[in-house]
Amino acid sequence: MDILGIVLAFAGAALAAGLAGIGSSIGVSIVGQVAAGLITEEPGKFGQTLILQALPGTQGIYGLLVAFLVIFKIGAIGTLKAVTPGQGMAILLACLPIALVGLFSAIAQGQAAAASIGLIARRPEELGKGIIYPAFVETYAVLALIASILLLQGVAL
Amino acid sequence: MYNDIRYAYATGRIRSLQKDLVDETTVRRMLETPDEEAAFAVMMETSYAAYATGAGVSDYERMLEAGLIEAYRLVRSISPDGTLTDILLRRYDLHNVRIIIKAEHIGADYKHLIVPMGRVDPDTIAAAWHLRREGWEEGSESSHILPPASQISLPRWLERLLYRAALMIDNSGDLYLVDLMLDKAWFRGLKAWSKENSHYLYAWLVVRIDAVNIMGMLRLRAGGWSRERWREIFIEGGRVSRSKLESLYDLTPEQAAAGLIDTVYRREIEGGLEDYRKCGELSYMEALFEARLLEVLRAERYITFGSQPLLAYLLRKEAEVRALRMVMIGKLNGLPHDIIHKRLRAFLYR
Amino acid sequence: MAVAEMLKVRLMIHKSAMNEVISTLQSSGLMEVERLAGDNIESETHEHLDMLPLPDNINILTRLVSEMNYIVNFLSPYAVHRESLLDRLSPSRVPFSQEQFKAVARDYRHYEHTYDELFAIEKRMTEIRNESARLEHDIEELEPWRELGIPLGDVASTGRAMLLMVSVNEKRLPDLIAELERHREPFHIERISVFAGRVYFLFIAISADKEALAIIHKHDPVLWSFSPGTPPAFVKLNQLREELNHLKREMSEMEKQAVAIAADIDTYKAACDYLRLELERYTVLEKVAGTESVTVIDGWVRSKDADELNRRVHVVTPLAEVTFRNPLPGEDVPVSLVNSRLARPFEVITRLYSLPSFRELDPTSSLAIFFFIFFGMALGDAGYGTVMALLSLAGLRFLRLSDSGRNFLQLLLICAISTIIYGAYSKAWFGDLIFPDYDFVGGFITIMIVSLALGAVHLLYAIMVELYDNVRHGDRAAAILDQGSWLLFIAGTLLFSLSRVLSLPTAAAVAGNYLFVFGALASIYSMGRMQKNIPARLAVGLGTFYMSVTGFFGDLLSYLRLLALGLATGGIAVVVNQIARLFRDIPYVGLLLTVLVMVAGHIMNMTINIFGAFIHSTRLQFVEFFGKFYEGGGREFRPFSAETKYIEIIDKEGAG
Repeated sequence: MDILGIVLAFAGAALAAGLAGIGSSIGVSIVGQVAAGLITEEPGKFGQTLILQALPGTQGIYGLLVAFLVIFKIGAIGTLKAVTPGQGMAILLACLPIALVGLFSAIAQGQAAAASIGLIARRPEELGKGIIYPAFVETYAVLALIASILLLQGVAL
Repeated sequence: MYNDIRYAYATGRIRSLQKDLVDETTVRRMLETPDEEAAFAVMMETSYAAYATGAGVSDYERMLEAGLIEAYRLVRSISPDGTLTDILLRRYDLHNVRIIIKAEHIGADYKHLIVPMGRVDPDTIAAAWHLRREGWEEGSESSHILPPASQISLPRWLERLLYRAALMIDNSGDLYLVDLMLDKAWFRGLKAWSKENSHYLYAWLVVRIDAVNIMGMLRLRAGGWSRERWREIFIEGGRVSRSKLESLYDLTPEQAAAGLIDTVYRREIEGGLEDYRKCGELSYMEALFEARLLEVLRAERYITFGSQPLLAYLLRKEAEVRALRMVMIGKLNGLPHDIIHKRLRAFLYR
Repeated sequence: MAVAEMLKVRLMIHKSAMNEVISTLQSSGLMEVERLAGDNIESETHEHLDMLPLPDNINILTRLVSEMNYIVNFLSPYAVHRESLLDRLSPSRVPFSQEQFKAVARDYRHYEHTYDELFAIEKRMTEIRNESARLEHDIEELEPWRELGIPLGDVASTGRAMLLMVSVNEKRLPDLIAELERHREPFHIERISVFAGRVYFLFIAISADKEALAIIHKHDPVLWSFSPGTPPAFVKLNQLREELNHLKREMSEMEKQAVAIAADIDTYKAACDYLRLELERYTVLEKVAGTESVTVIDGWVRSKDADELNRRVHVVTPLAEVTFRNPLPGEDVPVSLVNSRLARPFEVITRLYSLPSFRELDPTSSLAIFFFIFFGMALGDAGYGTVMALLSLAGLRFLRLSDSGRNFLQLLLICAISTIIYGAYSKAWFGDLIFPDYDFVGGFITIMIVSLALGAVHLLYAIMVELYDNVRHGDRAAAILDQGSWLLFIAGTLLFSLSRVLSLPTAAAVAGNYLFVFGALASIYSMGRMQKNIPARLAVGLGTFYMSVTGFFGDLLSYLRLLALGLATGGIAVVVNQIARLFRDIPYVGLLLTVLVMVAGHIMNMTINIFGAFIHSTRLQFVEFFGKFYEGGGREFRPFSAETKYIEIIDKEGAG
């Protein structure tokens, strides 16, 4: 069995889950801190801020999803399949879109959501718009996820 | 990055607190009331009502002060950087130092002039001042100056200023120089701090310094003071340079205004001078500058989190207290509506 | 799909009946009272009306309301029963009977005493907090002097010797000593401790040596002084700590008092509500005008409620004239939405964006069907759908809900049904728990095509709504040129590209080609038609056309999120099951662990994905759909009513 191929595939899965997860945790933490400040003054806005805080969390899930797709693909749960270095490299590259876009878009989305907290602090009735702005950021994570999945599908083992 | 993540929590809180700042409509409503009782009733609808004790109108000053103190306390408690409030509060410490020194000189009672807002307990300042002035000279007998069971130590910057003030008085005995020194110390401290920590506050400070310099020049000129005296009060750091202002010192107000038109303060100077010609006082220009300062603060809106919203909240709160005080004083003294209105310009047309 | 018809209503009643009529208006909750505009009245009645003077007690009432608000706000953190998460999301109100409510309210004068009490407590708490902060500061300052054994009060200069307690930056001490040595007067430095980079020492020199003092001042010192009789630092520190503890005890005492008072919080809440209703009744008077004998009340009423309002007013007094008229163009008409029972829950989504203005279409029913499908696809697991359905049913059955809370749960229920349908079709029940052959990536390409197709339909529908809207407003030209040509182009494009993939009849393919070309030309023409000369028309037309085409495909790609979200739910669910099964072989506890991991994993996955499905289905409405035609900005119709904030009257008076 060629170890290098497996290692590269593992690296791809680790990057996808790891980087996107880092991005999401930073993003969620940013929103959480701003929200905590607001809630100290106005506990009634808890529900609204919770929605905003959840927004940057999805990138981590997308990353995890791609990681699992890789795991299934190479049979990491159960018996490992043979993966050539070339295939391993292809898997690693396929993971990069969601890993990188996940990392940066989650942080960016966290900032946008934090700004929306400022918005609902003053105009709670504008929650809908406050959700939309950060949700725009996520589009690119979604596109990256699709790209990663399509690329992974393209790797034949 | 514009955003400083350490301030995320504090910004979230401030965004909520901003709503409680007194808005234009409220000030306008206070202004349109027939007398101080009615104006006070409107004030009771604002956040300051929380500090009422039921004493009625006479309570307004204490309420305003309490509101401001609470704002500073709150911001200090949520700010990751405590120096942010301390540096602004130095102004009150310096005010107290000034009062204490003057009181000692004239030998008058000063307690009612003390503002209990500084970071250092005024009694501590007073005791320290007397100790430093007399204690070391005459020995231990003078420790009776200390209030019972007290412990005194001053922050370093204040210790230094007191020492310098003491030297100045020993050398020249001129209280005016001490005054100037304290004034400049505040600006210098703020300048040093904001250069390091907040470009936002620095931008505000530059306008503030210019306002003080420009109006200082016009006032001193009108009072027939010499150019040398003016040079002493000039504060470095503004956008309008010393040489520029100095070159205008001997001209008439109109000519001086013409000389300043090409600065960024065209609006304030033109508007202010027009009123100055009509009624001979600079209060309108002052109001215009106040409006300008509040305008500078607006950049805070585009900051997701950072120290800016905190600073803006405090500075706005101060402006708000000044405005409310102005209305109440105006009403108590029966000033005509339009005079108060003019002085409130900063608040009414932002 | 409707914004309710509104009528402007004017009540003219005899003054004697005014209070009763206002009470009726409040309890019936049918009419929104509007402030009478001065000019307006005079021109219509040819008689001068004055705004009615407000009664004096409005000030007292205002004060009482703010006091009660203060009481309730202050006490809520101390109230014994903690609010649950669900309570916070949709606060349930305290049940009160009409009789209890009135009884509580009658006693409101007693509550002023509570207000004073709480005010005193809060004041003392603030004092304690400040005092504690001061003590903590003193303790911190004194700590470095702990090792100095002599009474601090004795550290003072005598007639001949200068004795100072000083601290300077540790790094500056050598310089300081060097300078003092150069100065050649006797001195002594007794180091006590080093704390946070500063060295604390006793400085002894000759009293008259002003120079030594100046040298010390050059090095940024902090000086300490203590009043005579101050004990040694360690004793003083203990004293300060003792005081601090004392304050802490007092603080918890204060908190206990607050908790004790908070036991009655429901009573205060009721009183607060009662007073607020009273105050509202009085503030209506601000909007009312009248002559000596007649009072005029203006406002808005839903057309369907007009007769009922008329009847209710006449029940109270025969001396009343109620007139209705249709809204005039340009008038600011409040908006109330009317939708079928099935679409009503989706008003939540519309409201989240903004109410339609009175003259606009209500998008609720159009978005309902799409939202229904989108949510189902995005969540896509029948198991989760079932749990969601059960939870929302339970909520509807057992929680005390406001109207909006009820609508929201109904919306969740409907979405759950959609999820169950979609999930059952794709065999997803908690991932692959029930059907081991469930393959979450299997239908990838199909779902992708379905997502895009749905997107295309959604977008085309939006253009048609826009077209309809233009026609409704009589702007036929815009309807044909803007939306018509664009629709032709898109239809052409679809036919054209489909004919490449599928085998369509030749006629369709040819028609597609012509439509494609004609639609494009027409679009370019219509997009540039506002410009004056031909080159500008061409440039603007081409530019806008290019932007529109890329925009359309950008929008289309956005619908891929349905695929992504569905995949995420399914993928993680499968993984949860896989991991859980790893525990199965552990002896004895294997089964238990498997179940635990599954339950925890699925709860987490479900929560996150319900959030995600909701947010993204909403986003597709707001951005891709509303963006084409919807503006919003309507003002909600808020009838003057007896709506309570904290409590709920369980036996409301019936009609009449």
